[in-house]
Amino acid sequence: MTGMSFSDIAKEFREESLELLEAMENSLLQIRQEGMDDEAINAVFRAAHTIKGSAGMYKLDYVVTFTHIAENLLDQVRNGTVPMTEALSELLLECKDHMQNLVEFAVATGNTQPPTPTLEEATARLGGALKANLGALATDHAHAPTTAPTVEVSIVRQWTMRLSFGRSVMEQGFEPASFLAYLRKHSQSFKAGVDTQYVPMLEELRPTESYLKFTIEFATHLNREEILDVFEFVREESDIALVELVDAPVAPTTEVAKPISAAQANTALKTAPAAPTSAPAPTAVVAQNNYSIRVDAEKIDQLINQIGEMVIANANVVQQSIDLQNSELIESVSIVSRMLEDIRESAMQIRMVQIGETFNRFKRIVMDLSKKLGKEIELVIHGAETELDKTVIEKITDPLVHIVRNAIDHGIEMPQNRGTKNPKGTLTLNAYHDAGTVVIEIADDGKGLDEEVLYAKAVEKGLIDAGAHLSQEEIFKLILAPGFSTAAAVTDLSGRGVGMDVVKRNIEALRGTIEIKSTKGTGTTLAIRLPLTLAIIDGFLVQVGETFFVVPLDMVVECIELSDIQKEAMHGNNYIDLRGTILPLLNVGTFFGESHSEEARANIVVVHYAGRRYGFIVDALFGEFQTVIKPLGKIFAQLKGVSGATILGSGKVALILDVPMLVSYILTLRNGSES
Amino acid sequence: MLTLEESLLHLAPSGDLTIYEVEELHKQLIAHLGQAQSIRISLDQTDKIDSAGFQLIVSLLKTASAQQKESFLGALSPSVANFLALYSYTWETSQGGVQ
Repeated sequence: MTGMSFSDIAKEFREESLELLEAMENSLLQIRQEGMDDEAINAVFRAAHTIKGSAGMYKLDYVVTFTHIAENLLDQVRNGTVPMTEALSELLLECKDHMQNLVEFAVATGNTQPPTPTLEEATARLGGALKANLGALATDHAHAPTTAPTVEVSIVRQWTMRLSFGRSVMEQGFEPASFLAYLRKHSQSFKAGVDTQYVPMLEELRPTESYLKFTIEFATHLNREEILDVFEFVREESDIALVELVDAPVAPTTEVAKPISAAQANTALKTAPAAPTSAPAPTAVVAQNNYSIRVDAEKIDQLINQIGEMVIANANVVQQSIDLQNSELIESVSIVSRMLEDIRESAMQIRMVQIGETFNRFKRIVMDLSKKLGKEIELVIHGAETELDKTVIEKITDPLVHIVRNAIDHGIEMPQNRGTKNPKGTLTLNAYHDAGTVVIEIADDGKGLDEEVLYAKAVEKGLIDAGAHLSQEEIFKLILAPGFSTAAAVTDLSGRGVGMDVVKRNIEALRGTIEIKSTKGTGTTLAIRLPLTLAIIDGFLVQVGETFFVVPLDMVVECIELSDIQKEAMHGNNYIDLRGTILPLLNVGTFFGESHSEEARANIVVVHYAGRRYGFIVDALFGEFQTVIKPLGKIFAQLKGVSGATILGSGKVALILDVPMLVSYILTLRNGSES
Repeated sequence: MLTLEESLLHLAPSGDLTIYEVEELHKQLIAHLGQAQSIRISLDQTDKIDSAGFQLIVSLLKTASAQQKESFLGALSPSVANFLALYSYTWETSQGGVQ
């Protein structure tokens, strides 16, 4: 297998490239929305530049060729030679997609095949378009496009470089002065100081060796890589330290044409570390310090698994320390437990990713789709900083795309059909934490769901019997039913469409739920509720009959003892009056068919789920308990009400209650008792 | 290029003072410096200087200063002046420098 080592590299190359391409797309979209921005265009350039570099390293020639053309144009856009227009940004977005295709192709084929004719054709077409922009605008400014507002920017930054050439550079044929002269030529201001203190006395001097050191202060539109590229051939043996002055003037070239005096540059250097926040371009500096490392997700999973095992083993130790009734041991063990909990917390944190990145992807989808459909849609994002397990995010992205597409396609009307509403529709993505779950809301201000049409359609499709009594929520949920929506049926409806049953299934696989709220004429909101994580939970241990159950602690609000008076007041109904409000109940023992003695004191665990409270009747309460979710085998796939299992310190198995499922069961019970 | 008259060593390179010339000149300087009391450097006839030539003169002036010899620096050719401007360098001799 020749591909073994390459495929390892290819995987990394792909990940890196896709990340860069995503950054590229985000920056291009940002430029489209907010106008030209130094940082953004630099990010676009950097992405192309880096991809070209890595592709070159792996000899992916066709990736290099295409990326090189894009990079050339981007460089001109960056230094203001070519203005950024809407048409150009669209072309660049297309090029980004093509780069992605090329990268994917290279990775998929292990770079053993030449690109397909389709790819070749795209390279030729887009490459030609890029070159056209490059040629026309570079030579002819009179044809500056008038369609969109353009901003010409050239970013001049101030740098300080400490430079010490290798001893042998001159012998290798390089002249230090040439490097400085070249740099001076590309700088708006330039001042070099030569340090001659290392030049020895004549007797010790080796006249062809280099002893000079330089400190150079200069302002240039070259970026860091380009500056360092100047020294490319001597970089290995030379010592180069390049520092950007933080409060460098960032302004159009016209203003920077006047040279910056060394005194100014010096002050800049001195004040920079003291007051970095006052700098006009602090983001760049912060970004440099904020580094991250790439770790194989499997390693993290392994770590979390090991910590999980440790949590279980620790539970055993805790149990034994209690049995021994040795107070010193109990105290020590509790310290270890607390630390273990912290470690677990930190390990889980590694997996947590902000959902913002995923939300950002929708900018492009919304832009493309609304353009295609001739609709005007504004995307509003809230709660981008909400964190969620990476695995969950990965699995939720496709369903989200589906829902967003549907909202744009079927939810939001054409501008002329929006009546008194703003002709520009709004799509809102919102994420927030709520009682151990994450809620992701996709809201549109479109036409909303029409209950009557949905009901009629469901009857027609044979999903419900004519005359069946359904609550509003149940009617809305019909759009999630398999077989309800086929493309043809749905476009006529005010609802959403194809494959929503798949969306529902995906979300349920993540132990999540979907809620639908809609008002005819004003819009629809889909709320997806997901567990924060899939691996470990803080649980609340209870016992029913002989079996132990774990309730996710985040959902537990309180525990109460079910008094005889309350028992009496129930009259066989499954709810009690809890401080003036009705608390629907589920007898866990009855649900699972546990045998339990009537004499046992009954307790109620009150849980909070999806904005309401419910009570579970159990026999005994044991309290907080950290637990690792062990999936149940396939045999138990049909088992309702249990989402997993865990092993207790004593070695016994405890079942984790599937609260969402049980809650929906309580609701059916309640409906039953009402009717 | 290099002359020793009485105790005055006069360095006046005409043509180039570059890496190709420095080795030979270096040898001569070492050979003659001992006999010199003062050093005079004239760079007005120098067509081209590079970092190697520059270093050699820096080293010569350093050595002279360490051995308490007098040093003078004469006029500079435009090419040398340009070079020094790039390095923002001013010669320091015992008799003061020429820009």
